[in-house]
Amino acid sequence: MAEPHTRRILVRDGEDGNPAELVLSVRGACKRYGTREIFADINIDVTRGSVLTVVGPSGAGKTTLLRCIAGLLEPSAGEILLDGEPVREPPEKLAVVFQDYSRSLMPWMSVRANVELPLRGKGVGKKERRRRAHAALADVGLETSADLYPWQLSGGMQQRVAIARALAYGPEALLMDEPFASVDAQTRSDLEDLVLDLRDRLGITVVLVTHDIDEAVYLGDTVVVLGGRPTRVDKVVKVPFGRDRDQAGTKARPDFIDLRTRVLERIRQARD
Amino acid sequence: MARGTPAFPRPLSLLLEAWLPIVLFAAWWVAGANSESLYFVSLRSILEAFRTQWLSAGAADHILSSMANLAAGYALATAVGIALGVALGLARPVGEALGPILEFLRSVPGVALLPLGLLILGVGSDMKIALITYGALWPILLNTIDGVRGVDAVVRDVSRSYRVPLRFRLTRIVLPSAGPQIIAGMRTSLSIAITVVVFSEMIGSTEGIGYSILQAQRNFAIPEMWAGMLLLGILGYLLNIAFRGVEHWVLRWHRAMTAAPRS
Amino acid sequence: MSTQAITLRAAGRTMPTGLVAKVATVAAALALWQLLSATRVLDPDTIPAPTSIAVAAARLAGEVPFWHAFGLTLTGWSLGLLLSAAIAIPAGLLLGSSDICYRSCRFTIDFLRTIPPVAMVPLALLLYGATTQMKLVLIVLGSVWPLLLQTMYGVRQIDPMSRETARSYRLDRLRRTLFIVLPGASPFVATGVRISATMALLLTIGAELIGSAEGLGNGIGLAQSASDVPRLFALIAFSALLGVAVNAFFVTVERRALAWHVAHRPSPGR
Repeated sequence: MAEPHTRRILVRDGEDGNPAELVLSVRGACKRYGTREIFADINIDVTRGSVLTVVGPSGAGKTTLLRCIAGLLEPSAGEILLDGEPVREPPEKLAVVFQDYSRSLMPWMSVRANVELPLRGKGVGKKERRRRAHAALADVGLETSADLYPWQLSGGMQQRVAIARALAYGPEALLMDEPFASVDAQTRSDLEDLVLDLRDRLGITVVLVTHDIDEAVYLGDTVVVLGGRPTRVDKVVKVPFGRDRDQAGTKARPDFIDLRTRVLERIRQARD
Repeated sequence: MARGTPAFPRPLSLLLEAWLPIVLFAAWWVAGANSESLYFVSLRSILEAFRTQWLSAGAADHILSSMANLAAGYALATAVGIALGVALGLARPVGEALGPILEFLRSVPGVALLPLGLLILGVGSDMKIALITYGALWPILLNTIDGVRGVDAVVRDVSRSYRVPLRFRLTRIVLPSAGPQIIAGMRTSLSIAITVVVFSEMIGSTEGIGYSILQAQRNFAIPEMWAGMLLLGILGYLLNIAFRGVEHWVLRWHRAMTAAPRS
Repeated sequence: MSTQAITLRAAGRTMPTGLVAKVATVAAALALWQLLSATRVLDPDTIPAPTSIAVAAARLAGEVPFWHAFGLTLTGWSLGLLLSAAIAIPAGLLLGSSDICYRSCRFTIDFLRTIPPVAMVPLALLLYGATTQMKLVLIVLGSVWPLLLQTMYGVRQIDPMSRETARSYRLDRLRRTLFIVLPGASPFVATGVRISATMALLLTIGAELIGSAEGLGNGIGLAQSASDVPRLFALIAFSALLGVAVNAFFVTVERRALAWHVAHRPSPGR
């Protein structure tokens, strides 16, 4: 799905010790509103094809950080690099999936028109638009719902449409802001597996912000724990489960439970 | 009217809607038949006057003159109102700085401008159209500004992060999103426009339906006066239905969405 | 009566932050107008300079007959609005609560409200002459409808949950109306009052102008016949200020009384 790219700037150690490419990095980012400091000196590296999850107590500025990465907000200091280039405005290589699917999809457009919307801006012709929208909807399993309106779908399906819209845009990385916070538990685990599946099939890079520790550990190759006041990176946890994960098995593994307990304790400490 | 229309059997439902108009009509017909009152004349004579005055060849000029002015003024108000409203809604600081001036201009009672219109533009269609436009402009303009400003923050984020270019932002995001409010403004404006048409014909004119009604009153042709009012009622009702049809079509997504059960 | 009710958000919201910009804009607009008049781009015989309008306004403010006319307009307007409210709110509550009533009256109301109230001026003049009654009839005929419709919509949109809550606590009909229906509908009623108030002012001045009943409207007509343009502008400005004041008054009352409603709560910052 990712568009061809020519830049290969930074190479670091990948998850299995193999060299991996750095797609996105946050360098000393900091955000202030007046004297109130939301977060300070945040450093995060995201390698290609990996899932990085960000957890932290509520009110820690996770969404603000994500908006900075997305180019919707400018950090007060530091910089965000995408393929080595500083992000100053929403870049073409990033697609954002917002938390509130009921507001992020346009209710006056059909599912297909919603998915096609970002392609119009790219000047993609009608036929190609159709094709890409269809492919993206098929990727999320919604190819039969293209002519419906978003509000005719369930919450989980609406969020799938939002993901399809992001995929159709052809980004290098997907930014997800608590994407599954407003769906029920069953749908939530389905959508979590969809993210892993997309990463495996399409090789897409994902940055996902969540307040759910299980979700962060289950999805992430790397978990960034935020904490403190102002918020800083409290700990970076490498998740050693490899790529084969499934809801029942992985979440029952002793090392999963151990890991999530450690993350939970970090967050508790960070909050107090 | 999403809620509260329980299913009555169809004939019963029709009866329910129709009985009051029928009763009122009949009551007027019967009571008015022997009316001694000079002013509340019999329905039969009103209908008779309606037929001779408005269903004849000579009437077309008056009706056309009123309708043409209405159409021109209303169309102008809609075009200016939406264009200016979108601009001021998007350029927020400008819109806010102009706020007090708009508030003041909006509060000028449209009717109070008639003497001024007569003074500047004289008697004629220009004056009437200008007045109609002025009166009908404000609800559309202010509702458009409000609707554009009210575009959901998430929707704005989406269009920024997916780099949707300005023209698509306008036609596919801002206008549809503000649509329900723009239409609400247009509906208010329509009734204002009709009022101003009639009013302007009563003072600065020798043609139009308003003029005919006032003329009839001055000549003590009471059935003709009532017939004119009846005509206005019918025209107003038809325009309302036409408007509703357009609204129904333009906002079909909105209607369906509010009717759909939310999961 | 297809219309969904008009939302509250149209209320004039003022923010203190842009006060300087607003004052500056008004000043700039007046200065530009003055400049255009001074350079004779605007013909002073049709559009006088702001300064000459201000002089005329100051002179008006010193005249007793002006204040008399002002008072008559204000009286006619407020009585008319009160009368409309007394008719429209109870009727709206009834029509909103009972589907049978609503459907019975739908066509009749729809038809009557589309007749422009000015069309009634000749009839009202015949019946009452150039009097306050004549004004009242017109005001009520025009301003009763928005309030009636808004009240009705307000009642119909009340969350069924609150009705059911009230019923499960066995509140009787009167208490349900007082504590559930009326407060639940009040945001819509408030919007209706504001629309009706504007409509009523328009009709008051219109009736005075066409029917030559004493008041601001008649003053405007007289200034026009006397070709006293600055005075004409001053009178129009006064009636606009009256309109601003009326709207500001109702917005303030609404904000105080409906502080609990979503539209008036301070919005949470991002």
